Parts: sequence; C-alpha cells; structure tokens
Amino acid sequence: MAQQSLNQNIFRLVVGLVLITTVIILVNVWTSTNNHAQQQLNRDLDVAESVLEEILASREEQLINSSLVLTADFGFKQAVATQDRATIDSVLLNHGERIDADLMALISLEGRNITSTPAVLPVTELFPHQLLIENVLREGGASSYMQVGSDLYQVILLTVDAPSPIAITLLGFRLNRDLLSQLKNVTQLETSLQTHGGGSSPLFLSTLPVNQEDRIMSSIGRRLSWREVAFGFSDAIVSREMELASDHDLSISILLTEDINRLFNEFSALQANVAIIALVSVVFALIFAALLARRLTRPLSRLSAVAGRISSGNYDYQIEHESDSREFTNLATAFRQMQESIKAREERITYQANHDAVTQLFNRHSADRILQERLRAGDAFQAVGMSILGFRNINDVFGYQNGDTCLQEISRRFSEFGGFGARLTGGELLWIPDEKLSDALLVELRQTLEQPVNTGELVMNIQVSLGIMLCPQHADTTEDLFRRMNILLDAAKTYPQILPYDEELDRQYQRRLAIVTELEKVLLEGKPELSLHYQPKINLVSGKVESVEALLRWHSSVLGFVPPDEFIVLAEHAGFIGQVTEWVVTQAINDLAFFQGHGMALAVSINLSAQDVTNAELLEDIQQKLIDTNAPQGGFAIEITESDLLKEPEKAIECLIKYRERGFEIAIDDFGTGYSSLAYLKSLPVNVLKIDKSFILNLVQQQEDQQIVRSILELAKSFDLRVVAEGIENAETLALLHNWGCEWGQGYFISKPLPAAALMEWYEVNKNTNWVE
Amino acid sequence: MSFRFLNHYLFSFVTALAAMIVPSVQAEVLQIIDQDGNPVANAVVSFPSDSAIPVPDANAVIDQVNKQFLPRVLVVQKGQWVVFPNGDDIRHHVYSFSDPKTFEVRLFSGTDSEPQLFDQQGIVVLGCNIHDDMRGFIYVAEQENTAISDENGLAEVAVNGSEFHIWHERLSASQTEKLAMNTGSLIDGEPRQIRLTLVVEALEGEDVRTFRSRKFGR
Repeated sequence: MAQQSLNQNIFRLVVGLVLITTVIILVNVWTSTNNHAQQQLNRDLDVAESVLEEILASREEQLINSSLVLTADFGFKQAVATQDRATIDSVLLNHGERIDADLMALISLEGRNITSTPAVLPVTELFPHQLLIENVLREGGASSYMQVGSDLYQVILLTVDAPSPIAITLLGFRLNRDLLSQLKNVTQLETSLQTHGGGSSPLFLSTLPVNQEDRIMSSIGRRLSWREVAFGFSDAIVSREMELASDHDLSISILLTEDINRLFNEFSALQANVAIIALVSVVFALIFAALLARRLTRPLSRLSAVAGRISSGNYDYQIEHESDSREFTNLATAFRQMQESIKAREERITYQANHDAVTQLFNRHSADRILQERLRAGDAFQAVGMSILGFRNINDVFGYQNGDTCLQEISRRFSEFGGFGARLTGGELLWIPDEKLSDALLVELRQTLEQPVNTGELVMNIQVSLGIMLCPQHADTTEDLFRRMNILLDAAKTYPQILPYDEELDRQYQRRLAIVTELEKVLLEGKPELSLHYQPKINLVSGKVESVEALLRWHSSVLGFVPPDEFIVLAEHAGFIGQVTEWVVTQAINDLAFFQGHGMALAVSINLSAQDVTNAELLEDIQQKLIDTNAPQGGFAIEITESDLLKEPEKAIECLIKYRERGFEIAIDDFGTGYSSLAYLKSLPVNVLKIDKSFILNLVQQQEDQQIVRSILELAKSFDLRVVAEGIENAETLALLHNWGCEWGQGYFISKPLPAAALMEWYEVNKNTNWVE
Repeated sequence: MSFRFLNHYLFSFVTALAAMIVPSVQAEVLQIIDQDGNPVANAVVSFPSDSAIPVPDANAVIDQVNKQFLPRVLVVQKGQWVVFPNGDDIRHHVYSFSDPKTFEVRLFSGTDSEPQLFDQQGIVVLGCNIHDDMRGFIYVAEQENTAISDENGLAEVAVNGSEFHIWHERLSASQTEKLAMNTGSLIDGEPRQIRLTLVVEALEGEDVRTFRSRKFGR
C-alpha cells in the first residue's frame, strides 16, 4: 500500500468525517421529511375520506328526510292512490320540484314501473333493480345509486304507505361534476367518480379532465419509491379509492387524488436548505482541514528535512521552531539535542578511528590517508621512524601499563616539537617534523627521547633507534614509505643508532624477499635447482677417504648461485627450513645408498640446525628412509654448529641423546667459535668435534692457532672424542695435524665439495691414495 | 257513552249467535302459527259458507283508543256499516285508499262521525293521517264463516270443505292479500295448525322498518 502524507491523511480524516456526518444528516432529513410527506399524504387522504364519508352520509340523510317528508304528504298519497297516470305524473313533478329531485318515479309493489318523470323508466316494465324493491318492501325504504343511461343518481326509494304500502316512489338526485366540485372544495382534493357494472356502460366523472382517468386509476394506492422522491415523480399524483356503493352489481367508487408536488414542495424547500447548509459546512471543513493539515505538517516537513541533513552528516543547521504547538517545540528541541549529541559522538568516533588509543597520535590508517594527501599534493618532508628497542621486553618486564606509559611519554616528547605523529605498530612510531632536522638535531632528538621514563614507581631506561627517510626522494607513496620505514627500522633495531635510508637496504630486502619466494617455489615445485655437494673427509690414521660431508648448493635459475648461509637463515626465518632439511635428508640418504651400491664405503654426514634436531619427526623420518633405501645406519651422521647448539642447550642435548641412542654419529661443527664451556662439552652426547676452519686455515703460520688446535685435540682425547679438522688447504697443515694425532681432515687440499657424480670419479682416482704418507 | 258500549256488545252477541245457528258445519278450533312456530294473532281464517249469512243490522264499531284502532282487525259482512267513535280526546283523521272502500273521516274528540258502508268484499286498510302508526284492518266478508285468532293463535271456525282462505296483515306488503289454502296443508294435531309464512315485519307500536327508523348512514 502506498504511503500517504500526513497532510493527506489529516485532510481526508477531517473531510471524511464532515462528509459522513453531512451525508448522514442529509439522508436523515431526506428520509424523515419524505416519510413525513408520505404520512402527511396518507393522513390527508384518510381525513379526506372520512370527511367525504361524512358529507355523503349527511347528504343522504338529508335526502332521505326530504323524501320521507314528501311521501308522507297525504295529498301525495292520495294522488298515488288514484292510480291515474296523469294525476300521478303531475304530483311526481310537483313534489319532485319541491325537493329538487332530478328523477321521480313510481313503482308498483310487484316491482313494475308505473311512471317516471322524466320518463326514463319504461312504463309497466320491471324495475331494473328488483333487489332494491325487495329491500324497500322489507325495510320500508332504500337508499342506493342507480345509473340510468349516462346519468348516475343517488336514489331514495320509499313505500307509499296509505297506510300500508300501495306503491314505491323513487326519488333520484343526480351525481354530477357540480357535486364533485363541492366535495373538492371541502377536501381540497381532486375528486373523481367511477362506476362499473349495473348493466350500464362505465361512467367516469372527475374534477380533473376526464381524459385523466387512466392516470388517476394507475395512481391508486401508490407507494412513493425513494427513486421517485429523489429524482422527481413520474406522475405527481396519488389517489385513494373509496367504495361508495356496490349494490345490485353497480359498483361506484370515489377517487380522491392528491397532488404530491404540492405536498412535497414544502419539504423539498427544507431539504434544499439543509443541503445548502451541509454544502457550506463541507466547504468550510475542506478549508479548515487544509489549514489544519498544513499547520500540522509544515513543522514536520521542516524537521524531516533537518533529519535528512543530519543523516547526510551536516550538523550545523540551526533548528528553528516557530510552531506554537508545544509538541512540535519539544520535538524540535529534541532534534537539536540529537543533532548536537550525534555531532559530538561522531567527532569522538572519527577521532578514535583516526587516532591511536594509547598515544593519541594518528594511527597508521589515518597517517596513510593524510600523508598520501600530502605526497599527492607534492609536499616534501622528512620522515623520522622511531623504534623503541626491546619494546616487547619492556612490556614483558614492566607490564603493558608501563609499556603504554613509555609510548605516551615518547610521543609527548617529540610532539612538543610539533609536526605530525603517528603510531605504526607496537613500539614503532613515525614523526614528520615541520621542518627537516639536521643530523645534529636528530642526535639531540634521540637523546631527548632516550631520557629515562619515570612513572613515579619505577624508572625505565629506553633505547631508541631512528630511521630517517626523505619524501618523496625515498618514497613517493605511503605504501613505499611504510614498507621502507619498516625495513629501515628493522635494520636499525639491532642497536641504538640513527640510520638514514639507503636504497641498498631496500635492495637487500628485495633480494631476501626474492630468495624466500624462489626457494619456496623450488621446494614446492621440485625444481632441480638444489643439489648436494660432498666434501671428502680423510681418516688421518688410515690415510683413506672414509666419509663425506654433504653440503647444500642452490643454483637458482633466477638469482644465480645463492650461498647456503644466506638462504638457510632466510628459510629458518620464513619457517620452511623443515622442508629444506627434509630435502637434504632424502637426497643424502639416497646418495648414501647409491654410494654404497657402487662400492663406495663412504659415510655421509649432513648439517642440521638445532631447530631440526628438536623436530622429533625428523629422527623417525631419517630412520625410515635408511630402512627404505637399505642404507647402512652407521653410514649416516649429523653435524650441528656449536653456536646453534648453545642457543637452547638443554633441549638440544635432550634431542641429541635420542640420536645417539639410535647410534648416529654426532659432530659439533665450527667448534671453538661458540665459547662453549667444558661443562657443556662434557654433557653433550657427541662423538666428534669439528675444529672451526678459522683455526686451521693459517695453522702453519699462526702459533696461537696451533696452540688452540693442540688444546682442542688434548681436550677431545680426554673426553674420548674424535676430532675433525676443517679447512686443510695444504700438505703442511695436513702433516701437522696428522702428527698431532688429529683423526680426521677435510679441506680443499684434499678436495673441494663435489657433486655426487664428480665425487664418484674423484673416489675412483683417490680411493687408494694414502694422504698421510 | 255507556250506550255506545252497549251497542258494541250487542253486536258481538248477535254475531256469535248467528254463527251458532248454522247447524250443517262443524266448528273446530285451529291454531295459526308462523314459520317459526309462534302463534299468530289477528289472523282471519275464512271457510266458504253454504248458506247465506245475513248482514247484521247493527253497525260495527272500530274505536280509537290510545292512538290505536280497537279492535285492530274487524270482520264485517258485506253491506255492513261501521262507525268510528273516537275514544281518545285527540283528533283523528281516519282514511282508507283500499279498493273495497275509499273514505276519509275526520274525528273530533267526543263527537260521532257518520257510519261508513262497506259494500265491497275485500280488505280495507285503515290509517290515520295524523298518526302514522295507527293501523287497522276491516275484513269485509261475503258468504263465508270467519274467525279471528286470539293471542294464542287459536281461532274457532266452522270448517266447510277443504278450500279456505286466510288473511293476515303480514302476509303481503300491501297487507290486503288473502292466502288460499287447502285443509290438506293443515298440520295434524290438537288443535290442527295452519302454518303461515309472514313476509312483512311485525308492526308493534312504532314503525320498526329499519330504513325508516334509522337516523344516520346506512
């Protein structure tokens, strides 16, 4: 259903009510006046009928009395008794004139006409209405109506008593239009008279023109239909029929005809007046409804417009309320309050959306937006990134509350210099000073920031690294700005410093990113870019090659050769070192099996990180693979760097013990660089120490190295550990180590790391070489 | 006054005597009833007489007492004279338009009028022009034995033959019609009854004819 405006609704309601009321009144007036008119009509007719009956009865009585007097006249009786026609005729004429009778007749007791004057009844014939005669003889007289030819008579028949009846006289009084006119004068109604039967042709007399007979007849007893009353009468008369007499087949009726218009005209005038009043009141109601509706809805429309403005975020419109209605004033006030609170709330929400809750600086999203605007506008500025060193530790140690206090304090410190401040994440903040700071000022800034933060309860010492970028030289979009600042601060967070942006940093970052991406792709797609190179180890006691160290090599089709030091670390950070290790393990064990299958009695050792070692599944995997490939378990060994081992020694030792229990040989790689204590060495479940090549490379020339190596050899002997010397590059070194009792040697002097195929060739050549002779 | 009464009774006696001296016929009491079985008074039963009935010399009398003819019905022999003494102290104007005798006499209080001769057989209806309600009947008999029924409808008459006539004022509208009857139509019993059909309403005192008595309307 379509919605309508309040304006329309009010208008319709008021107009509808008035209309309904008016229509009800009109209908009521109309029906009651019409009913009244109808009743009036009936009453008029009733009265007229009664009056008429009375008049006719009175007239009859008068006629009867006159007739009685006449027939009682002795002379009349005497004349009748003579039975002489001439005498009788003369007396009838004479006496008839006395009472203005129109017809006089004498009838024998047998009912035969004796004579009549005027001579309308045939002499000696039977009187036409014998029943009348019987009545007369029985009752002494009769009053009736009789039609003779086209004349209707009221007749009084009386016996001529002399003293017993000797004859019957008939006295007739004509009923004619004059009589009807007299009646009309009394009743004020058109009066008609109609006869039927009686052996004569029907007769119709009326005060109305005689040709109206049918019209009058059809209006007898007519009920007025409402349609006629409403839209005019098809025939504006109503008639009432009253029977005057129905003797001897002659039926005589008197018809009273009322002119309806005469009656209804008064009521029509009343109805018209009421209708006009109703019309006027409807017009007034229309005007009133229109005014009322406008008055009610105008303030509403205005408030609705205000609400529309508010919804579109415009809160500055002054809400006026000029309505004199209290409700609207209240509503307007409520609107104004609502507008103000929405405005305040929206400002707060917007502020919260754009600002960091802790520092009240801009957050990264709004900083992004604002700085992007400035960059787009061609603004040049210096961006100072600040990284609180060890912020996570501050939170851990002093609690988040104090961490927040620390952040707030630092924000406050640089905000005092003005500019635009934002919090990037955690302990990293961004500040755009109003003017570019010189290096000296930056140093000063850092000093200011690094003032200890005093919370009142405790004092926190803070170290801050700064990363300095210039926009748009170093970044012309906020995306670049934030990314590069992130790299910069990442690079700067190892120790407190002020690090200006260098494109090299970004390049390194890009390379790291490329390495991670490519390596992951290689591992995922199984691209044959990784390979294992094997560097032989010489048993310095037997002088024979007995084992090889597997070294991972990556020749990337995109990046070229990537050193393992570089990508292994990245793989560790990127979290897929496990997959690299898996690849290495699989490849190494396959190669081991291959070597064994080709008569090469070589043990293979692989380098594992502490992270690898602590992965319990790896041990099971290695074991399973050895079984699957049918490779000898004793031919597989692992190497782990000393420094790596020292990061989480207890856990590493625990895991290494499991390897030992399975009988795997474990070597500590790069031994001597990790400052491992002897106590640890004692508890380490290792078999072999690999002296770091830094001690071996210049062994012949360096006295200190010689002492260290000999100490390590001594130490190993006392702990019952075997020693491998790496980085042997000449025979002198080899000889020296052999002489000192070092058991194993490895280095370029013997062989550089070789691919498996090359190793096989090398092995064929050197398998019988005695390196220590 | 006393003389007039004497005359009257004398006449009655003579009449009765005359009836008794007719030996050939048997006198019988008959009862006259109407259609409802009620006795009818003042009916005249008449059987033909085989012998001549002498006309009494004495005048018959119909008096006027309390604006009524007394007797109401009088039987006279054809050729008999009737006198109309006026017993009331008001005037009467006695008349008759009947065929057997048309006459009018004006009676004044206390004065005798001329006797009237009734020399035609038939019924003479008497009226008074002053008092419409006065009605009297003179039955002029000729060679017939007659009897007037009393209030019990009983009339002792000399029955002669089977043909007889009966008259009553209510038998016809003109009040002058005699009804010819046969003894066969008599209802057996003790006495034998004559049943009449009275067509005219009884006239007792005032005119009860409804049309004339009404005041208004029909």
